[in-house]
Amino acid sequence: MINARKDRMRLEFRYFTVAIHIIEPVGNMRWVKYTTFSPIATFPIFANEIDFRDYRPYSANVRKTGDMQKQIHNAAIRNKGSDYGYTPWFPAVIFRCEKRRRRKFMLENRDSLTGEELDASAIAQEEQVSSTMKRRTFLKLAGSACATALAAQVLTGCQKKEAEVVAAADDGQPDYDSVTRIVCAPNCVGSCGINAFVKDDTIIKVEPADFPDKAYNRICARGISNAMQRVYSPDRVKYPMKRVGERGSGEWERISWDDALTLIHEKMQYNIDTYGPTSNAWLGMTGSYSAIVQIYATMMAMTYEGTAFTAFGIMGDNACNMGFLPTTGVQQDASAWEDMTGSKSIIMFGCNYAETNMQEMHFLFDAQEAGAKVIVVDPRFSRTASKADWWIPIRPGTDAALICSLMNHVVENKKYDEEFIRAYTVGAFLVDSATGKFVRSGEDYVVWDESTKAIATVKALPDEAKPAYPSVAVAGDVPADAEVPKAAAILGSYSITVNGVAFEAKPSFQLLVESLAEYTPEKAAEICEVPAEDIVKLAEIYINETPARLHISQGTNRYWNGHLPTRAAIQLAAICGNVGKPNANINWAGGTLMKILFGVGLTAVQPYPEHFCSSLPGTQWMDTVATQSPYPVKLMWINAYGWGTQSPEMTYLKNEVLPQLDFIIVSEQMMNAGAEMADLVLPISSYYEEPFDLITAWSSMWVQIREQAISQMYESKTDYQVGQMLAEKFGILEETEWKLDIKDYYRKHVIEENAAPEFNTIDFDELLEKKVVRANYPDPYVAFESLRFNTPSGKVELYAENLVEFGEQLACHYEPFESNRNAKATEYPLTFMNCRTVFTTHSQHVNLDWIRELIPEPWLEISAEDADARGIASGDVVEVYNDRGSYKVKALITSEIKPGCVNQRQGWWPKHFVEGHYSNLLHMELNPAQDAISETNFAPYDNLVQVKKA
Amino acid sequence: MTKYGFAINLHRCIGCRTCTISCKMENAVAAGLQRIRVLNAAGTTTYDVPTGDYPDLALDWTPVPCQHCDTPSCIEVCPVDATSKRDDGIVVVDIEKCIGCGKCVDACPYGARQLDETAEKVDKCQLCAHRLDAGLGTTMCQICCPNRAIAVGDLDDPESAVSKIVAGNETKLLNPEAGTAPNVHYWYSVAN
Repeated sequence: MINARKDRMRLEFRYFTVAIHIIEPVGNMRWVKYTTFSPIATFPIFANEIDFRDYRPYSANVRKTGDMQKQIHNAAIRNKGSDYGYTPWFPAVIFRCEKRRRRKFMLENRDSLTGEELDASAIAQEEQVSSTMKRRTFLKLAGSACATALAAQVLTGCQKKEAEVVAAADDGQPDYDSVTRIVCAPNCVGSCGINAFVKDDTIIKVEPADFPDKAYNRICARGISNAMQRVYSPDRVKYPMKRVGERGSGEWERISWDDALTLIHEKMQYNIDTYGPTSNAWLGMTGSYSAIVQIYATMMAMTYEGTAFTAFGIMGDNACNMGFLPTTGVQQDASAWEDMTGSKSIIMFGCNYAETNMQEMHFLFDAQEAGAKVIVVDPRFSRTASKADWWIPIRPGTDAALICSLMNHVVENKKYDEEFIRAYTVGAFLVDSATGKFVRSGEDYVVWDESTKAIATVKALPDEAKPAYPSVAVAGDVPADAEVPKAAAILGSYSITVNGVAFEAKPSFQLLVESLAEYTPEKAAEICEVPAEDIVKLAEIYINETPARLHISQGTNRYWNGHLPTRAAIQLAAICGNVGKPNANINWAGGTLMKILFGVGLTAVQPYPEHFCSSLPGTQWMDTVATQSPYPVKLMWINAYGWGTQSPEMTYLKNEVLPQLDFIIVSEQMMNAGAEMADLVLPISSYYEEPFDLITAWSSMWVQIREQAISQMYESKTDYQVGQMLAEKFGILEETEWKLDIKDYYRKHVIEENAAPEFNTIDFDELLEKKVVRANYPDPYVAFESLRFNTPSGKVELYAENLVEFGEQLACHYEPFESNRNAKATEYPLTFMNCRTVFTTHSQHVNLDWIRELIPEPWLEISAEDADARGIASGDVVEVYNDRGSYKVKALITSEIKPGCVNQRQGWWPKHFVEGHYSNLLHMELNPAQDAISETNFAPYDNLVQVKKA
Repeated sequence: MTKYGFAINLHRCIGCRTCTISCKMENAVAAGLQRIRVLNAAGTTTYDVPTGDYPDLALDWTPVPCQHCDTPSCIEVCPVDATSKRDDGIVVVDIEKCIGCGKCVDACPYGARQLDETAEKVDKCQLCAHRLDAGLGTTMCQICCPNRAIAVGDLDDPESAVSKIVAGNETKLLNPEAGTAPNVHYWYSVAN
């Protein structure tokens, strides 16, 4: 298996989004050493694939680069000359948190007490403080029943105390010292503003904070529990902890930060001297939406010339991107949530916003109450499906076939938008029937002009006229020679001669029409298990009930063929002329989170000038380590990643990968399953303790700062502080940008130097003052509004000539890797999903008392039909297994799940299960087409299992 | 007169229990107790499963706070007069007087009262009276509900949001046959 994977690792990457490349062959390897502006979207590439040697911010087909330096220059000129204006910056005002009692006590007594004694003493003192706290009466209200002194309660793990009256001020709030606006952003997509009420350096309550648009004021049970219980969880990592027993034994020794840094320095330096600097590797994930946390792994790898593994593929969020990339040239975008109101129909594939975007779900309700018909396509009767006007249950992993069938109906009934196809897509461009590539005259595309009965040429939109992702700003008019003639054919077959060479050619839309012929409603019905008449009905709604909005999201993302539905959905929207239009469009994810990261420059990820890292695909990090190829990796440093529960192939990870590593460092808030695999665990502060941070959002346009609400607890540090301390230990602090205060780092490197005018025109001082501003994108935001695309042609590339060899030049469907129609399904017949719950974000909230009141323990969702066939009743312990592993959990019979599927809500820790963990069952198979587009996506729903009563 | 009550939009309820947890935070409700319980079809607060057979299914939740009834059955049964109804309609418990006998818990037709066995006191929704009295105008469950399903206000004021909902929509009461004249109005903004 490993050898086969090595071979596939060496696939040529020819169609991808990258930002910067530093070309430097590593030994005789064919790998190039490079880095990127945007560390979560980097890919290994071959030196012979690239012919440029300077830094290029770029976000489209690399072969079609042109002079990107010029593009940066033009963007810079546009910025200064634009309506956004130019904003000088001023020295930041350094935020200092008031030293509070708890911290003072901890510091004064640090040397005289052990960790446990210190904790116990601090708590005892806090309780004393709380009990003597000045109290006001409760406004004659006859007592809040069984109220508790909140400060004491949270510090003692929410143990019930004797009844006391909550101290209340005249403002209806409990007695507090300060209110600090922070941002709750644990990768749940919301980035909610939270007002933290603090008394005696302890959070006593939280409320939703104001946004400039109050529609974005919100909070949820997870965020409340995070503030009140995760910050104070007994599972917190309090001090640097060094492993003393066997790896994974849970035996630790508390060491000082200085000892920890000395140990890291020693290990890293040994590797640098022995194996080369790239043997030290980093993998960071999205456990926090802090911009720096998300580029931290690359910052560290750059500083020490190590290896940065990319995050997007192993995260499992990359498949929809790979539907977007070949077609639109950007990896994701979506119109604003508010833009839903006004739509007549909203059709959603794999979107369970009620659970995964619960903060935004009210926008869908707003639209529905305003008359939109909401249609949800999902194998599960999700909470979102339960609110829909129409739920369409579908066989998992087959959404692309359904969408292709919708297109079949559109095409059969000639309901497509011919003018849009001609003007804004490559539909008229002729494709050489022999090669599948676009016919070209020089650099130009070729079309058949019906008015002249002759060929005509069309130039690609010049790079300077395209929006430079993540910017959507465009300058100048579309040159006349880049316009498609009004009479260009989009159908037909033509024998043409171009510059003396004869071709048999067809417009790419003709090829699209032909490709759709097989997706009749009857055929799709057989594939998708959706009645043919329902497919026709859905197509008619999309055609007639307009503006019609298409949404696609993570449910489709998490199959091995997960890029196909998005590809098909864009194609459907484009041929119906729905791209770039208000209340319509194709919508995946359109927030500032990815946009700001794609806009940060080299200096943001390169704190040590002239020092570069090697970047390898994170999807293959386990294979890289297991095989020690293409070069040795001996030290892994993981941050913001619950890899102990969120990884695929846990058995492989533990048995083949970890033994190859000499040293594992995990930066964590919680002593969770990931931290338990480490040799050294570093305590990381919670959101409420960070001195400063800057937070963007997955699906909205806000940029927010996070200020310190309470002192950093125990000996915890932020990731950035750890980076600073390590630089000091290596004696390089003053030579690097790690010397900057984090606020200055953000000001200079993340905002001011951002390539996108939408970010670099943000007035940082205004942001500091207001705490939240909107990135300077058009408002209201309609994705692709310019109808100029960041593709080689500048149009929607319905037809992707670079994917011909994969048979994916047009939207299509093929089965998931572990389709329930595969031979393997005879032994393992059930499709195993691991959806989120509304109560948790991945692995972050399952250990909190309040959340456990709502979900007491993990369960396996199974249909009555499948349970009966196995003699299983709700509450029975069952074994779930396949050829990769097994685990045991209690069963919950529910009609929510399609027969033939089972669902294990994700995020539970190994200790919560009866035995084992579901991550043992998940594969990480590479998809060559996805690797050609960018990087294979982890497909956690695409696994076959069998279930039996344990 | 002021008569505080709720109007709860069940179409917008996704069963996330943010109301429950925000209330627990605001009012320091003891572990295991919930002043606003979000009941699923099985009448419980965990393991939400749809009713019906695949694919003809329904998922519904009903947030149940104290109904702050016009004629509450919990007042009379209290042996120590700990429960009372304020002039503004809020049913409150004087925790100093409460002896935790549990009679009101049994008397409430809505299960809105729970016994805190550790404290030997009864626990119930007080409609965030401390917030309303201070002029904040909102309850914690109301401001925290991510889907804006909960409205609180004066049912005697025709201009209040709750009165307008009741006037403009088909609303229903829980268990009206209990005869306590509850003041929590349930409605659907989109036909269920």
